[in-house]
Amino acid sequence: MKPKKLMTEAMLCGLALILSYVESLFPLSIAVPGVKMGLPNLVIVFALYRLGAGSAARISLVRVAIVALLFGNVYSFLYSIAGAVLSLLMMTLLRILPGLHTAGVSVAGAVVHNAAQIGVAMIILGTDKIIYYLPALLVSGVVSGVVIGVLAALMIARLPKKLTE
Amino acid sequence: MGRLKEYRKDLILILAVLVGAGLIAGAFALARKPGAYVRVERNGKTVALYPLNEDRREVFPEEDGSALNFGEGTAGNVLVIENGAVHMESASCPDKLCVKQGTKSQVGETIVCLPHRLVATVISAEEAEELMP
Repeated sequence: MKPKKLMTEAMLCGLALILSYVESLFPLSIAVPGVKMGLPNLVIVFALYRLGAGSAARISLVRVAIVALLFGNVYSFLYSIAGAVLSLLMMTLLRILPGLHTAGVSVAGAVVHNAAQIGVAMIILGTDKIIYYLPALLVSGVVSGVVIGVLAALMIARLPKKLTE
Repeated sequence: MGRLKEYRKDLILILAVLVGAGLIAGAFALARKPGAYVRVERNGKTVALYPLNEDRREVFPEEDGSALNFGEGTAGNVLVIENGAVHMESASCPDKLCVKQGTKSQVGETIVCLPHRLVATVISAEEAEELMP
């Protein structure tokens, strides 16, 4: 890997970490566990489009690992890693489809992320009843996915080409 | 409208997810019926079973070794049953999502405390009978 690419990835990973921290400062007061703004996904979508799936995966996995070490525990790590891996797979696949923009791709990523977290919660908590939160988490995935997707489109179009060439 | 057309597939995807969420929520709503008992589970094991027709207030202390303990009053969760419904009165976790989840009385409704891995589920009398020794 070229040093410049490594540096760009490291910088984006730092940005994703800061966004994780910012997000933790403003917890959404909604009575559904797992509803989040998904700010770090902004960086992941940007990396996916401008640097490719490999870079997005490296940034995402390193971010999840560092967040778990700094602020989390084993359980929060399991929630994040499942959501991160599945949403990235989904976004990588959908990006190839013609006709979808960052908004659609990031909505799909957010929805899969939330569904994966419910799946992990069902395993950790040993109950299938929390599936009742699925509709609310699907809707919250759509809302945050659209916002993140639109912002990511702006970043992808406007950040200098030199950064990622 | 040209721009909207350009985003047609994104809009279809978004609509599909929203319709799916609506259908699932509708199916859950149709299946609603009043519950008779509250089952409390920790790490998937049933730790308590209370009838909904008796008012009570129960403390579930936090487990040892849990990563979250902020030392505010009782470390753990306080569960209250009142007027045939259950709610979480207080919790020692930072987000207090279980308290915000409100009052539950229908079969299958849950109150989840992720940090303490505590789940309170409203169940029917038949389900409760199966759990009783």
